[in-house]
Amino acid sequence: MGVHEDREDVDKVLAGDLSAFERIVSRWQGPLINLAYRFCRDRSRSQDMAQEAFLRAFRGLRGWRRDAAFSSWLFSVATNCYRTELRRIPAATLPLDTLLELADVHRVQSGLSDRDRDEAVRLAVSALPAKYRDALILFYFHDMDIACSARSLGLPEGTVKARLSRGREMLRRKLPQFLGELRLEEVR
Amino acid sequence: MNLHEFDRILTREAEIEPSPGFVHSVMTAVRNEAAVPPRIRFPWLCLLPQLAVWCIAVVWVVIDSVHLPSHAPVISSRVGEWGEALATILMRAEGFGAGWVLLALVSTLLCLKLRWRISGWFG
Repeated sequence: MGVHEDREDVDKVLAGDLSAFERIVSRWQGPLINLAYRFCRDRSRSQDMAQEAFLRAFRGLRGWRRDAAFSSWLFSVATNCYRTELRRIPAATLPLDTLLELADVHRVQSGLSDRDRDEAVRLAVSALPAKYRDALILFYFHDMDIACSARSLGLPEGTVKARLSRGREMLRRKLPQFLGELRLEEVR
Repeated sequence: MNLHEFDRILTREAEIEPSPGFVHSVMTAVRNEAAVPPRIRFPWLCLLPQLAVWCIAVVWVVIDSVHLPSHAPVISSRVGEWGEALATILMRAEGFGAGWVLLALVSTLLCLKLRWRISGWFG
């Protein structure tokens, strides 16, 4: 994504040219919708959440300090927006224990396909307490880049590492049939 | 399943394509937002003199009460002195209707809080 393009478009928006914001939305709609989906696991809702994130970004555009990349700032705004939205209306996911029971029944009846297993693991992440869920979602969204995840969450890298470790440990304990062999390693 | 597989599952998510009208929808909301006049900020500067007067009044009551000639029996313990001072302050305060002043302040704060909630100041 063009760093200079973002900067130029932001300058134009601040000068009153709204069409420049349209270019920003076109460039970043995919990542923001996909990030929203990882939080809420609902395609329709993810678009609403991404729209709200763009609106917040528009309102706070003057708050972008040019020392960080525009993308970092935008992801940070979006992350805050999504977390707030999920606090208001939690994602329609089941508690971990219930997921575990359903997975057991399913596996006994028909065997668990890779796809089902993958989806169960993702749902299990969504069902974690918010601070661990957020750390895991951002970490994997940013291709396991802790620095990027920390910037998006507005937290020190050490805190993010600790939450990742704790989140994975919770998953390991709650989903033994999926993650039984998972060895907790120091994250990076 | 090992850690790498766990990483692979969570890294490899199906990409969601934005709906065709998404940009248009966002821009409609943005244009509506831009058309709305800027929010009127709460006039904190107007409130400051009142807060200052209130603080001065409280300090004055405390100082005045502490410097009262003590005609109560002298209590040697430190706790007793503090209790006596507090009792004096409360008696003084009662003398000029502090209860009503307190009630007025609390109701003012509640009104402000209600106003913030209604106008979405914190929202």
